[in-house]
Amino acid sequence: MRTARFVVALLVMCFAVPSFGQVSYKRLKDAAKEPQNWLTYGGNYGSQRFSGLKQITPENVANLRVAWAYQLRGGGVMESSPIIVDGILYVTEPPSNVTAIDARTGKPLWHYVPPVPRDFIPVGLFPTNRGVAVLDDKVILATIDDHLIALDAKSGVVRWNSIIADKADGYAITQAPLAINGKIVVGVGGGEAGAHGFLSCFDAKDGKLLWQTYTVPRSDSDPGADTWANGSWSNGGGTTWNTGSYDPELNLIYWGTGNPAPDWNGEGRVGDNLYTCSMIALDADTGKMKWYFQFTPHETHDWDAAEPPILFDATVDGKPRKLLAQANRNAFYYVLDRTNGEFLVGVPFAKQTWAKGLDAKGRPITFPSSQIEPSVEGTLVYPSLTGGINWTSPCYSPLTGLFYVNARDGFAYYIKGERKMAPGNSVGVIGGGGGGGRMSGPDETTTSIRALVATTGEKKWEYKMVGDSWTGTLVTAGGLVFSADAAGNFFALNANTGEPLWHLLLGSSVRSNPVSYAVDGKQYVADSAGNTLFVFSLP
Amino acid sequence: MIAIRSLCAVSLILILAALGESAFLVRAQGPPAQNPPTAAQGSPVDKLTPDDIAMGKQLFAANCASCHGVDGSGQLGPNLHGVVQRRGEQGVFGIVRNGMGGMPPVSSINDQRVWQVIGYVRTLGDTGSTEAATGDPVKGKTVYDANGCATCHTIGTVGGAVGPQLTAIGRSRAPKYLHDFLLDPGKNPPPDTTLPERAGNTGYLLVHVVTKDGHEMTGIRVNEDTFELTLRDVAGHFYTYDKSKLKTIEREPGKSVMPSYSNLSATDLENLVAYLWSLKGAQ
Repeated sequence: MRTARFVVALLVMCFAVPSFGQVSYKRLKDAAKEPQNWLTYGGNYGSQRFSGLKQITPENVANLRVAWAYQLRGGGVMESSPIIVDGILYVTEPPSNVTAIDARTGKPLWHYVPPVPRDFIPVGLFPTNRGVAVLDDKVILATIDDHLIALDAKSGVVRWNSIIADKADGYAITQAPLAINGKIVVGVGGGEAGAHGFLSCFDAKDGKLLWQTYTVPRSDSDPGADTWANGSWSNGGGTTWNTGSYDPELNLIYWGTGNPAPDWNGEGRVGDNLYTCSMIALDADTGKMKWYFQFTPHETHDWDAAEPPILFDATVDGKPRKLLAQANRNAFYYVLDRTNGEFLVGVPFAKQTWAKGLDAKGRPITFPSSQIEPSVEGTLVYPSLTGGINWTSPCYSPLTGLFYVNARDGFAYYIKGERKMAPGNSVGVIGGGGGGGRMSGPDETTTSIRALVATTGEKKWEYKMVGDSWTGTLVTAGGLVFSADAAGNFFALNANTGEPLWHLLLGSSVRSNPVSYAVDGKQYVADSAGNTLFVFSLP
Repeated sequence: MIAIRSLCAVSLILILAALGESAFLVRAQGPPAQNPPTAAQGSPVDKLTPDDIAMGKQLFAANCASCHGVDGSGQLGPNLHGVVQRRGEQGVFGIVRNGMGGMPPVSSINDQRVWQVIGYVRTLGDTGSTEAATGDPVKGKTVYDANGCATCHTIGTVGGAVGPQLTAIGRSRAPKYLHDFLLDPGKNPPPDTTLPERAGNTGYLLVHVVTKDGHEMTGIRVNEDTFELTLRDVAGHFYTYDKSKLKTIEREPGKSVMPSYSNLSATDLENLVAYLWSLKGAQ
């Protein structure tokens, strides 16, 4: 009898603790079938950041309260978007640490700190990390000093450690990698340090490099080299610093590319500067470019196109289309056909003063250079250096057909500087070259959650905030959009109307993307503010 | 809303200039504070060579400018002009190493490089002018005292807290700026320095609110987000309003609670400027 009781107790204990499950490629592909988990950076391969959970609704969201919180072990600001697998939450901490946490209780399970050299200074970006990927029994991390590290999901033990790039060449990585069928795809940052952008694909089993595709020419004979006058491709640019998307049926990877170098001064690089500030579609098996679409040819305002591409299917002009939408840092919202890159829609979603509009192929019709180009004294242009949107993610709901974006209406005085670049100088001697800008202050900048009809970009509603918010958006099947204002008020809006329904001041700015998951039938919403990850649920 | 009290118009007239830094400082967050290693041995910044300052400028461009602006005048992060003068070199070292507000601690560069950056940032606090005040600072102090400036401003440890401290105002403001400001305080308001994360905002902004039940209040904006607004009156009381319960919110940029001192004689004004400009002390 006593033994039987002990066995029962043991079984109860087993059910009470989270278990580390295998995350097959099939599970990643079919992520919508398990809304209790958040398996990829963007919530699914289309980066929709849509949660199928509906326990929290407009009717009961007012009862939302903090279930648990987790504070960073080191200092800094948490920008990580957690991954949740069967009750385990994986979050990253600055600069490149990983912590596994019991997603129901907040209790840490393991913590991994990679050997990042203390004297490494990334140029032009904060040493932070925005999340991990999971595949099979591994958690995959890209580090600030350009390593791709696979950890055992159960213990945090290193299974393999590969080098993505040489940090001495100016590369640094903050993004979450993308796990697909047996492969890990990852990009690089460093566009202000003379780095040449590329995407790399590694074998998930052993970390061996399978392919690597550059986004800018490496020689005069490379495609696109004729769009850089006088071999100016040598300064680099076109980095791939934010996580992209994947279409398993088309077997295409979609990734946005960053600015050409040097920024803010295009005099020495006359031409369109391919494939910078573009969306590129690569074959997942070979890395070969299937198509590209350049949003901002010959870019001079730091309007990277690194914002997440959102994939969705819809009927356009009576025809079913496979679409890709991006709210671009240049303040235009674009819809492309993701099978071939055909331009379909392009309309401003935030205030802009640089283009009269886009032509039939989506190329900007710009105002005269004297009005928009950076100058020694500074040229006032909307949007600001940080753009109509930056790295934080918009979201899309297949239920409402709306694309929700945290849009920034702000300006900068764009200042032209010297054209010198010092590729790979890890002390950042030139630090981006070309100039910079003075941006509009918080009183002069407005951020708003805007709901756009995804197929047209037409604004359905907007919710105006005070200050310069740096928070992504999450939309749920329960009919809610979550985000936060600049002061750190985390809030819920009605996804159909934009009506504010609940908010809580978290005490520091929220520089991350919210996610939702469920454990034991209870829905949670998670987001970080300052150095703390907050997890909310109904009582 | 904590309470509603009308702000007496007469008391507003007593409120003086808004220049420099206020009494409200936010403590650094993060792990146990790291003390500057050379605190006991004098300032390492004073030992820097022009080459060190040049390196500091480059390090600043690479590591700080994305938030603080290429000229340090503030973007995502606060305006750093005069920050070394206000907080001291050791204080800024501590902020760099330990972080503050939304700023992460910087541990990836060695101490010498941090001092190089601080040496460069210190040059941002210079008035950028060789201009010197021409008045008599001793007589200017008499003007300062006679006009009740200390009602609202603190110098050293003495004075009021409605306006910002003026202890080191001469380090960050040139005589011409002080002169013009005294004549028209609303024209060129200083940034909000009460809270680091609000440093890009207009400071000492007057806001007039009317609640849905008819109460009115005018005060200096202390804080504002999407949902709430906090004002301060001259007595130092704070009032926080739920914006959804306000009928109107009128911001009054260009107006200052500090009156113009155009009524001063040219000599008194010149002397007052000279006195303010002579204030270079650390807090």
